[in-house]
Amino acid sequence: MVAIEFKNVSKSFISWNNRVDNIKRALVQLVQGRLKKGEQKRISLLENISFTINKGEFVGILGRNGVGKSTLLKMISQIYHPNEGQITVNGQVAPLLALGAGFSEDLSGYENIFLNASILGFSRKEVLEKINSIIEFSELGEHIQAPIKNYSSGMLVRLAFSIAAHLNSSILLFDEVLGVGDMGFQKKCLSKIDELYKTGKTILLVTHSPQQVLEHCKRVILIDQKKVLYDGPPEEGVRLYMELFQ
Amino acid sequence: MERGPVKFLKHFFLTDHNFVLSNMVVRNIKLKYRSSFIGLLWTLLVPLANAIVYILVFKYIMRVNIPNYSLFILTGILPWAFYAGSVLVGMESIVANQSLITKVPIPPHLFVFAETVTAFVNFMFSLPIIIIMFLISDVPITWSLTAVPVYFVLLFLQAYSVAIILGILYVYFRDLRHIVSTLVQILFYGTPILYTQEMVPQSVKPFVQANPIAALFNGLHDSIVFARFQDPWIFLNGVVWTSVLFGCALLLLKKQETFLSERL
Repeated sequence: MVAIEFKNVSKSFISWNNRVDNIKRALVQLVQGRLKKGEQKRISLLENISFTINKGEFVGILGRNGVGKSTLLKMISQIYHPNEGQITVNGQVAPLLALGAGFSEDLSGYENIFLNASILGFSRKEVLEKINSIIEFSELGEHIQAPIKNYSSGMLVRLAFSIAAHLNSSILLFDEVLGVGDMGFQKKCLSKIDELYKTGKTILLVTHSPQQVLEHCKRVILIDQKKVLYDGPPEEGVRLYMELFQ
Repeated sequence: MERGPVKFLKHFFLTDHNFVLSNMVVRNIKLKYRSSFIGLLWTLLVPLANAIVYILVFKYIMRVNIPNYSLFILTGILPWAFYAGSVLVGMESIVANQSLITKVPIPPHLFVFAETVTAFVNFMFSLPIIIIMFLISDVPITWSLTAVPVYFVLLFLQAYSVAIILGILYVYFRDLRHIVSTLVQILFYGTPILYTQEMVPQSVKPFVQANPIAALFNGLHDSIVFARFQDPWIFLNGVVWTSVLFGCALLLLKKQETFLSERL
């Protein structure tokens, strides 16, 4: 069964440099008769991308900085929408593009679980069902009742990842979220991701670590110069990825 | 995303996002309440202090001849604090939450709605003050009070609509804040809050009619302070203005929503 399908998807953005972002300038340009829509410069990021990811696949997404990996994930989670082409997504998406989305530092860890989980699309019932295992996995113990402004960054990541990992969605998108936290916790996160993969969830992992890809992913999509440069087994994908930097 | 009109209307009021919405409103209120010793009272203190100043100046120095003037002022100033507050905070809320909007699929106007609801809850907390003033005044309890909730609904709808319109424009024009905060000041004095609509000279009346919230404040004054139902024509003016702004907000949101997150 198909989980994610991209059909000839293109994505471009309006250039920031040419953007009029205040009324003063807009008025000046209007008086000078220069405010025309046609002058907006579009920068194309992804062109004619097509691929299909089946349910239960573990896919690593590789590519240089700024090549559009995050944009790809944002299109899957419907934060961005393609300019051309079609994207089909079957199943609920957990968009973990940033851990701890919406955390409020004056609230306790416990309160933030509800806030963050609801922002990610959890229902109240789901949170109540999972709250104990979320707290347990985060290893925060009694600190869960303290305001998170007193947490170390490691504790924050633990809490955030713990919420994310308990999401009841069938498709999980991770965008370089494992860069923080100590080695031990990174390992724990990855083995949790592996565990989720074994329960049949579809997983997309954006990372810059070839080692993580080789150890965990079953397929690699390599993006370069607006196109899918490679789509296949990880070993070859990682080799081509490394070649980009030579 | 294509939606039918009914679905879009539901989406406008975020009926599918109850859980996250209530969490955000609770967070907003909790933060206000926790970050300072007197907490929620702060939000009441500013309009109350203003009200006391206006009462002193206009009742005792300028000798304005409006019966129950203290009640009159409070009936105007507390809803005004709601309206101005939700418009100003709501306007900035989309931009203020850009890091979330670009990372999580969440409708941008959810933040505007959360701020409007928060401001409205604060306003509801301040209602006892009006009720107490009402009880110690000599205004009789009449059927005109039943109209009050209607004005609250219109006020909420209009504040939310204006906040959405400005919130979306603010994404494109970051200097909008300076303009709007000045306009809000002008709007305050251009609205019958310190004075009654009848006191406005005939030559200036068109300006009051062109003011989207004037009719609502006139209605609140009529039904609470003067124990009478509002002139139907003035009421119609308020309904029409609110509907127009509501319609504009709907259209603007429909047109802008899909690509708004990219403009942040």
